[in-house]
Amino acid sequence: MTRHIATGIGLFIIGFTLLVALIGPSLVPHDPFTQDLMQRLQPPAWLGGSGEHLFGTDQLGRDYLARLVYGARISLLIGACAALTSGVIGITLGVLGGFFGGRVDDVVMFVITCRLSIPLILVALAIVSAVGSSLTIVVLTLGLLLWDRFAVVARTTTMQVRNLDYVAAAQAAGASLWHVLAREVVPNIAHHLVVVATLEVALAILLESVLSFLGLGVPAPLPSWGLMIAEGKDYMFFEPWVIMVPGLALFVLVLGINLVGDGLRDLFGTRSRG
Amino acid sequence: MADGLEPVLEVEGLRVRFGATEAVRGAGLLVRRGETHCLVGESGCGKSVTALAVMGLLAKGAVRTEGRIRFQGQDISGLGDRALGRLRGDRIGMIFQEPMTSLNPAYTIGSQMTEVYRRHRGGSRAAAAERAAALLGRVGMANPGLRLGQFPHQLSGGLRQRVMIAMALLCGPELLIADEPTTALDVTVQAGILRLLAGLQAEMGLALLLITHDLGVVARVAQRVSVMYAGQVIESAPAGALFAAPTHPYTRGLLASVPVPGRQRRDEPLGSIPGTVPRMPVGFVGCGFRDRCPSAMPDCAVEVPLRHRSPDHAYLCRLDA
Amino acid sequence: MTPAIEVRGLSRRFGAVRAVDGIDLVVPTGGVMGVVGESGCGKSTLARIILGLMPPSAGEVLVEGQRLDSMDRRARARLIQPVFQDPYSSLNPRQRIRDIVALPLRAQGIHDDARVMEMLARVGLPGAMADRFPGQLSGGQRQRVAIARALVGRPRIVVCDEPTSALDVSVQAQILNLLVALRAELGLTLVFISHNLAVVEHIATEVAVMYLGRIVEQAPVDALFRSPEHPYTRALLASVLTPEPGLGIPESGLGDVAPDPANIPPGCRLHPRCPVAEGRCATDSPEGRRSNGRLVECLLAAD
Repeated sequence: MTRHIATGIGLFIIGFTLLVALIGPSLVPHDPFTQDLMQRLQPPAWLGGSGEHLFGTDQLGRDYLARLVYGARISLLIGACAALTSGVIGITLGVLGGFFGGRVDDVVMFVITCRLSIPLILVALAIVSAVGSSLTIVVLTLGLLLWDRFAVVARTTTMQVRNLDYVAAAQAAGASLWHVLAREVVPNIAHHLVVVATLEVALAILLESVLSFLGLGVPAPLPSWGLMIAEGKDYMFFEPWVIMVPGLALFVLVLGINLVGDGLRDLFGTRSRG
Repeated sequence: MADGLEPVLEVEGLRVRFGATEAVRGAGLLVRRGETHCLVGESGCGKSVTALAVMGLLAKGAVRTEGRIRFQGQDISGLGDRALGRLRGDRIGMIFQEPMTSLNPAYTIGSQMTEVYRRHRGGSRAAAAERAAALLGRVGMANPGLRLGQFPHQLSGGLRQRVMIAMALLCGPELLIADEPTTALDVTVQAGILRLLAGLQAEMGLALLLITHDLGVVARVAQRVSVMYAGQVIESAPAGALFAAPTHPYTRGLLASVPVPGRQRRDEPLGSIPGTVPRMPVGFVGCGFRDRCPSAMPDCAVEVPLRHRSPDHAYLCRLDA
Repeated sequence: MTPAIEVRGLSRRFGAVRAVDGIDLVVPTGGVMGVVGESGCGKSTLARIILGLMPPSAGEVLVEGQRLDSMDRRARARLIQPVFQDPYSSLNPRQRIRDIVALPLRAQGIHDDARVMEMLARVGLPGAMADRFPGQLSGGQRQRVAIARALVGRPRIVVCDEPTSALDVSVQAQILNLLVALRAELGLTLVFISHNLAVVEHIATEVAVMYLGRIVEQAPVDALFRSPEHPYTRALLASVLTPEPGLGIPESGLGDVAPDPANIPPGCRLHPRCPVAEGRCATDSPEGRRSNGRLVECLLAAD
């Protein structure tokens, strides 16, 4: 029962964020990029500020609510695209390794081990120094570096399914390798991968904020929540809302995604045991 | 002859429900000291659930709604889990089908056996180990000392089952419940295990309730047989009588389905019972077999009387013997 | 006449495990070859190799005179199809029955729903089941689906690996009757693998007895059951528990040493357990002796 409530809360959070990301920017009265140095560091409405900037303003006078709402769009976009990219890479590798075993699997395991040994931040730093930083580069960096969980789960579940008789029956029926992998194996491991996907989205969002905080992620003036935290850290003590607002938003979104992921795991867990 | 030997286990009117389905619908049986009573039926008939209900080991979601269970004359139907826990492993032993999953793969045979013994009898580890080694020897294992130090995966299926039997007998129980003890074993190993059980029974005066779907096992080891279908015991008789004069249409259908080398002609199909075993909803009235019975009558939907072919041969059917 | 299947010198190892250790077998067209043996004898491995699902370590398999490894997957699928033991894992739980049964046709590029429905009817399933998922069917029904799938492409040979062992007795009889009827109707050759001797006796025309990767005896079914020659065959037959009360528990005569394909004994592989083993059985390997259409691999039978 508590699990259902938790999942429900998670779904609500994600749904709300999605809504905000989609239509929010057109509803807020201000623009996230307009600077107004006369209005800099105005507190949010509940801390005594005027109603004009509901969530206050940042150090350059930009409306915080607008930046938050626009930032939601960025977070969700990056999360989804990075998870998609890493999913394609990881699932392909995992399925191939799990299905063929032997040397193919040895290679796949080696690649996974290499990937696990790579320090994410240093690689991101190297990439950004080399080619600069943009939304696309962040997505690609995360996508190329976050696929290991997909690969491991895909590999293990493929290994379990591979020995089942219906796979043997499909091979005996003369089905092509493509059919066996795409129509017999993957549909039966998909539910595990969906759970991994939700968790990867959450991870990608968090990591993007870390990268942006370090200046390696989304370039200013785009209002990534991580970048907002970075830009606000100098004002942490006297104008705490500058980092608290995006920080809290991040926390709530990632929590929501994780709750849904847990719920999905429970849902599919019981079904696959049945 | 089983006459005059005191009853060790008596079950009457047992009903077990899982949600909206009734797995056991008024089953009853009697196992006497020194007797092997086989409870036979196909999957879904409720035989395993009956055994679990007796032991108080029903899964969450399964509820015993009715029934009286007497062990050695004492009513144990109302006992709580604690009290039943004291009986289990001590006075009542149980062995299951899959020895690989019944034994914990992470612990040695010796530690599992001594743990069981000490839980019921206390005492030192050394004394328990001695008892365990003695039992392993009793069940025909050479080199018990070596086996105590081994892990389950180091033993073959047949040996693991012998370990299970030894564990079940550690505290000298009066009743042994064996649920499909040989089904997962090779046929050449099966006979050895059955012979072991028969020998131990004679030696220790055990009452043995043996649950199986294999009519061959039943024929060779049972003194008494109860046939279950859809949650009810539809026929109960001494083994010889059941095979010589099967009375209930299900029993007859079942016996006709079993191929016996040399008995039937190859160009004739095996007898079979059309359809599949149904799930019985709570409140089902009448005979559970009527939809598959070649001799069903309209009255079968209303009421099924318990009839007797002879004083110790009972069956649940309107038809005459 | 070209035999349906011919196996020559077949071996298959998995590391130290010699699952199949030198098998020669001829399955005549139109026959039912029963393959019996207990766990570790290699019968399932043999089945997978014959079906082309696993390459052998040595030896070859000829199906209707052609080498199996020279056929592409489609040609092989047109000739030989499986029915597996576990009705719960042999059907893809995420596909509808219709698609499961249609797969052998689709793999050949044939889209013929009528044939699928006809096959379902032939195995005794109502048409309404075509759109259900395996989870909604009983074990016996699923096995019927597996049989329909095996036969829809009109193969010549069907390899049945313990097709009834996971089923209840009354359902087992239904499925066996179905297999017997379909075999006659469609002129199939069957390879029927089972540990249940009574079932094999009912359905097979010839029987091969396997032990630790080799065929230790082979004979026409009646001859094998009436006068078995190999000590292992005799032990197997003696161990069968027929539903005949009053006969007591049989003595197999075999010792308690469990057969281990990773540790095959030298000499005759049965010698540690054999009730009539002699000194030389521990050192000399028996060779198969053929006479009157029978094969026995035993030093004592050769005398």
